[in-house]
Amino acid sequence: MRAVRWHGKKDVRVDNVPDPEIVNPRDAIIRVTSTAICGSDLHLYDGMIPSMQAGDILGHEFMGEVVALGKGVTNLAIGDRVVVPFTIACGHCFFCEKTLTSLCDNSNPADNQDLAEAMMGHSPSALFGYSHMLGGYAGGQAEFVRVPFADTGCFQVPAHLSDDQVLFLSDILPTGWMAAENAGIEAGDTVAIWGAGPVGQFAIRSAFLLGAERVISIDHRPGRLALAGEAGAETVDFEAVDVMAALAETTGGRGPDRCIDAVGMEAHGLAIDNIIDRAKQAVGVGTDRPHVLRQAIVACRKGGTISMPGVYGGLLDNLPMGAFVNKGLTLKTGQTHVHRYMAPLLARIEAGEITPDVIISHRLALADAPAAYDNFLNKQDEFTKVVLQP
Amino acid sequence: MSDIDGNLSPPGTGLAPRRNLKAGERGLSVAAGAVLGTMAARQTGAARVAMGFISSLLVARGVTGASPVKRLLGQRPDEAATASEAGWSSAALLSRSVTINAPRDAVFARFRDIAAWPQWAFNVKRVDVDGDGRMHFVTLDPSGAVEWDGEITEERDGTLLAIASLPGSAFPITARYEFRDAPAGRGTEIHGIVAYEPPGGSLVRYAAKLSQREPGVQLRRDLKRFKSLIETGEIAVNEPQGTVPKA
Repeated sequence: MRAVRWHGKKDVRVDNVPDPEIVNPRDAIIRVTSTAICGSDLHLYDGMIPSMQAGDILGHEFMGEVVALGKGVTNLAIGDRVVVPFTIACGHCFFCEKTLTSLCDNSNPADNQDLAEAMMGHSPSALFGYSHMLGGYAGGQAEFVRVPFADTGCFQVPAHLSDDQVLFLSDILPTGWMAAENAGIEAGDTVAIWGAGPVGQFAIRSAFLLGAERVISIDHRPGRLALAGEAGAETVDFEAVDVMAALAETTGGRGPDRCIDAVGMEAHGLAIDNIIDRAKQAVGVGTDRPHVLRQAIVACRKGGTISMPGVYGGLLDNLPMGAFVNKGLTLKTGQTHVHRYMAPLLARIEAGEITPDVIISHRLALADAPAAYDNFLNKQDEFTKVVLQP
Repeated sequence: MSDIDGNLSPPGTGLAPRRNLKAGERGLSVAAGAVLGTMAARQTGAARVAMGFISSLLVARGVTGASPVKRLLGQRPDEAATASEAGWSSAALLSRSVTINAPRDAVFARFRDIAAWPQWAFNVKRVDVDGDGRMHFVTLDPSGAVEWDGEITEERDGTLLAIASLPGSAFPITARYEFRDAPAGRGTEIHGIVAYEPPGGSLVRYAAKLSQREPGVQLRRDLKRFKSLIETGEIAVNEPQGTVPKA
């Protein structure tokens, strides 16, 4: 089969590789019909995530048709049309029973947990196509993919909804939703959301559905800000406006009640702290660039909440922890517990409350993946979201 | 798990004291530092700086009686006690615990099936269990497959299983597994403690870790695989990724 493989920093190729096979009883093989490139794939593309190996198959947003099943899977049938969560979850450990599926104890193979434990103390769940520290599983930007624990990990979707409408149940729609849920929005709240990429877009829409009075979207890409505006958000272009002053002024000096960092470790822009972080990265003494998190802590209303769906990879420097403590803020974060949100969000899609396909800018073939990665990174205003159809 | 004074110190977590040098070693260290310092005074340039620096470290080591390197790489007091108790030249003592989301009796029964250990203990290639309780193990160590005989030395149903290699074994090892209820119905804790006589002494065990066939590394991974098997019915594997296999 053909698959999109990572060969190194900014080196992604479409290669011929052996088809996956059933290995364990609870496995399924999916013929992929649609797969997307995620913003977090760009962290891999930029070489920011440790423990990638040349030849790793990328992709953690995918859906398709079940073509083979292990003998332990009894709730699926060949031909079922399914969306697969990017977090791999066993369904039976302490965390899965609490629906904290991105914290599954068992999906990351024992050998691969060593590095995660060394870095984080404990291993989270494995993810598809996202480094060997997080499982080393082949991803879904391919014609076929093996889905472990498929009885827990394959979510059936109805025939009357198109791939475009349900594909994002695999990651970014639940991620945007959980970001808004984690923000603890109360009636009358103003929510500031840094990053108007796909997750930011869904966080904007989710925040309104969860009762936000105002949503302020912060980015520097006019096209993305326009898309945020269409959802009812007020927009701030950080290249044209002083973000901190604008947030304070527009909220009567209180600051936004809830702040969402939908940017993560590779903040854009030429802010002084971001330039210093970039320089540190260049000489190998830093990892993440938490410019947005710093801004959110200082901008946030006293006693407010910061929700952080943006991905951070390792260590970061110079966080204003004094402000965080003295303002009594709350921080909530985590990889998305996708399984928990799929059914309720599918119901909202069917009810027309959310139309996920509005963010898709390009539908391309699998063979176009190398150019798509480059464009998603370098032409962000034009390439909001790329869907590949193998 | 507590000492008499109530301090928490589970087996395998003790540290050697910071001041770990005897009077003789301290005197030698100061003397060697003084000699090296005298020699450094006669040198010039980089050699003078380097020798002077090492000299000052040796003097500091002797004066304080503390060697961080020896503390890190040498035997801990609990390991030395294990070695002298077992009559070994040195001992490596390792512990690891894991919590399994299943009732204790079920966990113990699966664990007690020693002939089935190769399912989840990937370094154990084969176990033959005789009628009289003697066991013949074929395991992998850094040099390859090794064979040894062992027996159950202590067993309390549902709470304890201890095994040891027979006296005279080429690979002296003991393993003790305690089973406890986790609080509030959160499953079963297994506390594993493995002690062995590292071939080649305590330094060689660090080399063995690199080969991934060191008993401490194996204990950690084996308990996770056992947990996965109990909780999910299978052991997670990431095949096939089509990448260079790990060591």
